[in-house]
Amino acid sequence: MTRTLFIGLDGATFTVLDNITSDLPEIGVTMPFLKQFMETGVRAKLRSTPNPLTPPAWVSIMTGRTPGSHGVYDFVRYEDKGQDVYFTLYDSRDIRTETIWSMASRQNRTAVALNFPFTAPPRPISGSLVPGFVPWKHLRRNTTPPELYDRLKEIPDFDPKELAWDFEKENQTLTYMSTDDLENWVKYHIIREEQWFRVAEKLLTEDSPDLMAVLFDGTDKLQHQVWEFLDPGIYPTHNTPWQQQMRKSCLEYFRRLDGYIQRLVEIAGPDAQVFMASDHGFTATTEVVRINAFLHEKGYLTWRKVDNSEAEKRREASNFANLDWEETLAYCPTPSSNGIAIRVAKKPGEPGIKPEEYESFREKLIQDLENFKDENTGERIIQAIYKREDVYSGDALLEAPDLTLVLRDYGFVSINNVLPPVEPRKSPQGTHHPDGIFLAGGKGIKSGFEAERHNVADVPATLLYSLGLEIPSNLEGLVAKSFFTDECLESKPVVTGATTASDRAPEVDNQSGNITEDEKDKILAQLQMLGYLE
Amino acid sequence: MQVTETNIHSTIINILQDMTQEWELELDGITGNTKLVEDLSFASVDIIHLVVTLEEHFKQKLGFDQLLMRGGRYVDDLSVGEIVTFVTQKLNG
Repeated sequence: MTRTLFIGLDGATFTVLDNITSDLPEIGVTMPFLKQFMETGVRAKLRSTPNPLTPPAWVSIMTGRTPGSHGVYDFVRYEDKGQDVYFTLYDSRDIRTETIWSMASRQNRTAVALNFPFTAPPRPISGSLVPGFVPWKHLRRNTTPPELYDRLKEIPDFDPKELAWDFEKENQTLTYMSTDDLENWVKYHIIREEQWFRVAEKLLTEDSPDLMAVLFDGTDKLQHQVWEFLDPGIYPTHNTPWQQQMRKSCLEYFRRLDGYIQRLVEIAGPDAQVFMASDHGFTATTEVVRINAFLHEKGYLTWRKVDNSEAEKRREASNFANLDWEETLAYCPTPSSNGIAIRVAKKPGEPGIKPEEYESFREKLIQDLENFKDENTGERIIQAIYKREDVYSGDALLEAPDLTLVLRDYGFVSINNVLPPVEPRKSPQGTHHPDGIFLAGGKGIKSGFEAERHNVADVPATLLYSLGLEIPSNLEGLVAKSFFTDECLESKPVVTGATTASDRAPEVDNQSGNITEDEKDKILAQLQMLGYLE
Repeated sequence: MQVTETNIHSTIINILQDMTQEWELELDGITGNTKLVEDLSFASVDIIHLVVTLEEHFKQKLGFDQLLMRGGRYVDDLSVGEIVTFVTQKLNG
């Protein structure tokens, strides 16, 4: 029997949801089920991670820990090698703390997890897992248990190419699109969401896991590109036939999503508690801030000289910084990081500042960033600049960017070698806002209640409580007690239990692949068992 | 104790065969001379997935940046043989 249904809605925001659950002239209610769910349940704002971004926020939702503990800050991980910087993607092995899938599994609860980021390569689970953010070519090998993929093929019209993450398409999220591209973008995500719903429907119906969790991420992808057709502050000014058609298409996506949510809640049954959450909210960004161009002007970085080779063109077009690493002292590694890395020389003669210069260098950099101002109004372009120790703590602190920036319009920076450093956008685009949504409904949940704002790290504690499990004492998040009725809390008090297990792979120095002697002995023994050693 | 290149070779071929079985490639087979990009249509994200798969299989990080970057640039392509040699050297430490 499914006790707990968790529906993730990437980037969902009350700005849009309150609008499309209202009875609008000539449109009506786009999401009637969600309207009823919010009216008869609990709603709250949900504060994201310091950089309100999919990777750190969803990993906090999966672990109950903040990024300084769980260790995931961005899509892309960068390793400073001195003469060079190596960029690669984060994966499940980078999560340093236990996930809720593992917590539930080791306490005899079954779980299904669909489309969550950084769940590949998959870890053991008592249930099923189909990872998110994995291209179709690698979906089969990263789905667990191994026989699950063949079960998915039983779904009529199942198509991994439609379901899975398209690396090329996702790279368009923060770029400008033509009108045709925008129309296709909405259609593409309608089709993708249908695929994920069919998978969720099958596994919920056939397996009835104790914890059923599915993430719909089209909400985020649409809002990045078609925000102007969803923001109630912008779309009423749009009157051309094409603009009105685009809004209709966007609403069609949300209408279908409402149907998927309704169906999953119905299958879960009247005894299940249902939770929905987003990793961050959304708002409008109206300007491009080219942070590396600004840092170049201030002498902190040097652009790499690019020749006309295909390899160099590909590298220049990539979403991570392409710089002269011999000369660069501070830089923004990726647009999504909204952060600045300061390069400290590991030994004399290597690129970077001397360790003893770190504090004074960082203060000077902060001062320069504070003085990055709108020429017309004098307003700061960057509304907040956080030192890493101001907003993060934990074993992974030193992997955070040295500075995290909050732009005045919450936009993501550009790292392109283009001037001027700040420029108005042609039209407003969607960007992440720190406040997302947290909803609950079902047996034992209050009705028509608006709760105080919670933190993304509170989500797994709340789900564990719903599952009837103890809350590990080292979770940084708390159970959202105010969501539950007094009767529910009295009959099933919140109990704090043992700390989480560590499900991380052996401690490895990411910079070099070096491992401790103890770990080396263990690995040699494993390799011998596998027949690799003579 | 040393791992053998022959052993690693067959393991990596098997992994690549399994990985690419649904990719609809027009290919006679995978050998040491097979190139990831030219012959197996690997994109950069596929290379990252192969690295993860190999590190998972051998239960350790292998420092693939040393193979993927040369002279401050990412390599254009890699042969299966180059990967086999690199992994063997790494495992033999």
